[in-house]
Amino acid sequence: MHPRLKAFFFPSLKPEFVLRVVLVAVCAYLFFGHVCTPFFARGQSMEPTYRDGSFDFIWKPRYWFSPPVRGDVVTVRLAGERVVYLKRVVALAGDEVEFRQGILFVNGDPVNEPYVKGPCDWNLPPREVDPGNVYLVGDNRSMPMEQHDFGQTSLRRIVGAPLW
Amino acid sequence: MVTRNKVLASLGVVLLAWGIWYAFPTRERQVRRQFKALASWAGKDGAEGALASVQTAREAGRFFADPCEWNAEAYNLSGRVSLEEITRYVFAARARVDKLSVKFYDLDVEFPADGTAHATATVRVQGTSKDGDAINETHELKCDLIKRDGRWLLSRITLVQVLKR
Repeated sequence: MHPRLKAFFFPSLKPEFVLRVVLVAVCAYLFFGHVCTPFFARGQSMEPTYRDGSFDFIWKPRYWFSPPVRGDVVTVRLAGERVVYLKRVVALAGDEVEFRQGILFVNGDPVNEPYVKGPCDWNLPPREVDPGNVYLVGDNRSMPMEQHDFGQTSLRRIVGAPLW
Repeated sequence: MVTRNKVLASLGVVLLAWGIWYAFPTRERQVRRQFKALASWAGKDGAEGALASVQTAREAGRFFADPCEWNAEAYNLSGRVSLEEITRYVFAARARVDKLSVKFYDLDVEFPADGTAHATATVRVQGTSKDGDAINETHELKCDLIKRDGRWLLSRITLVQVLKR
């Protein structure tokens, strides 16, 4: 074997090498564990934007300095961050939200939602989003409303946004 | 020979330490084991005879106090439920599903007083119904547990409404 290849695949355990491995491991743990966490989308509630089984990363610094705005896709923690909801922000605190024959209305105005592809027949009476909360809905409105988890949640539960 | 004896002695010490650790769990590990056992008990893998279903349902007493308080508005289930009712409910639920997998994530356990525990977790329920419909439920849970006869039993279960319509 070529000496350079041998040195690459079978490096000698010098202190510098061990230190480099430890540094890379610590940086990878911090980055992928606390800043940019990998996840698989499970379920159909965000289809077709995020398909069941698709892979992505949660970019956690996304809302460190600014709150989410309407149209953002966010991740919401439950008891912890190993399982999160993936939903789209459709209304902010103080907004009035309702669905009429599948069309989303915010503050009485219909909202153009190009990310919603399938037919929708949802009807939901108007309700106001509480202070400190945002209103979240998945993109898949073809599923029955009863089977779709959506509603308002505290801004404190938002842990980031998908990287793409 | 001396080196070999040292290695064997070290292995023996490690095994002994692991055995002590396993045989005498802390109360937090006891609760964690109970949730693991609950997930295993609630799961179902394929067809199950009526007798096996009854037997499984009867084992509810291993996990739930009598009565157990439920606060699950999403399932119209609120109030104190007796062990007998839980057994009936479990039997009926198992009859409606073909496959079921229950997993707990992010389990956090606190002990507010001796003999009581408070746990929070995310529960993920996946499977298929007898009709072939997919089951995919995720909830945040808050649970109170009490220790009775050396076993941690669920005395209160609350489904947290993370998304409020």
